[in-house]
Amino acid sequence: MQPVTVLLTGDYPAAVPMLALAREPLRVSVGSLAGGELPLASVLYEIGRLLGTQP
Amino acid sequence: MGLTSPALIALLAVLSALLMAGAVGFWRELARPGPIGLVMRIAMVFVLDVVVLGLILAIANQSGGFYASWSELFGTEHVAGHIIAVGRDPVAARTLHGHDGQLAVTSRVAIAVPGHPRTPGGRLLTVTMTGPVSGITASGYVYAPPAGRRMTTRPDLPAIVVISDRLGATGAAFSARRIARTAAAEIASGRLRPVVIVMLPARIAPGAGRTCLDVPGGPQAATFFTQDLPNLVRSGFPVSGNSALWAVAGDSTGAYCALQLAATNSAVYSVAAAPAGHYTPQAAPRDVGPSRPLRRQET
Repeated sequence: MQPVTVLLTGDYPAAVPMLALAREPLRVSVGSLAGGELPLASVLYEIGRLLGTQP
Repeated sequence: MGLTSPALIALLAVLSALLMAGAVGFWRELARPGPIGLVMRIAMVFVLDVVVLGLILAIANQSGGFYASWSELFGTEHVAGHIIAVGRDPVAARTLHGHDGQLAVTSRVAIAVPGHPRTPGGRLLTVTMTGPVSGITASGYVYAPPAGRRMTTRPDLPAIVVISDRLGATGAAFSARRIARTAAAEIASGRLRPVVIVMLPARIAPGAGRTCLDVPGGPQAATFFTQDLPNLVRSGFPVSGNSALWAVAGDSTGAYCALQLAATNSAVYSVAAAPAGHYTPQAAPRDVGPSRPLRRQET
């Protein structure tokens, strides 16, 4: 068993109940969607960061 | 011609206009008395209605991303596609058969880095996967990164599983092509290490619902996502077997899938992302009926 990191982005108020449930070793972070043509760019970046795979 | 192709909408629009013009132009012939005129009027109204209705539904489907392909619409996705991707390329999928399940690549599209049309940004593969444990056959996409100098056949790439019912919707944030372009841009800019992205719909099998759960006596979606999928992807791509390098993300009910899959299977997925998610259980599949085991899984 290993810790799970949950990244919640977007509709923050709807995520609040989930945040309240988080207990160790569950880790939760909140991000935001990027605008423009590639809105998921920040999400992929954050996932890569959480996986520890930045170049 | 794809179900979500703009060409289909254009064809239906042109057909509608031609039929409308034909009805007006041949109004007198259609209005003549007798059984022949009656049959012609009924045929014209029927054909015009079908084409216009088809046009409206095609536009609605493209906008809402309800069905990504004709096979998904008619429920024939269990038919395996023609296998074309067998090769020595480090990131080319190979095919597996028999008790190991099957990963078949049915088509591939080169992805260019956004803003740099001549720079290769990887490939978007259309795949069909058959899980040996769950028995589920699911169609989706795999983004394979460009084979740069850091790419080797050593299985050490991270993997991200994206679950969304809008993968085939042109222009949607979660369309497969847009996700692939985003990954290509991030990798090219050095913000992201090369990564394999597997994209699947939330409802991967008829009767499975959209919550990625094992339905008692029905489709074993959770088993597919937590056992079959990692094994099939690792067999076809140089992806790490370390679950610390596996993430799952999704939108809408796909986000709910991501959260519950990671929370209940942290030995498989170590990161979950819900960019635009549902955080409460969705209704169970209608054909399953009230099911206490299923409700327990959902909550």
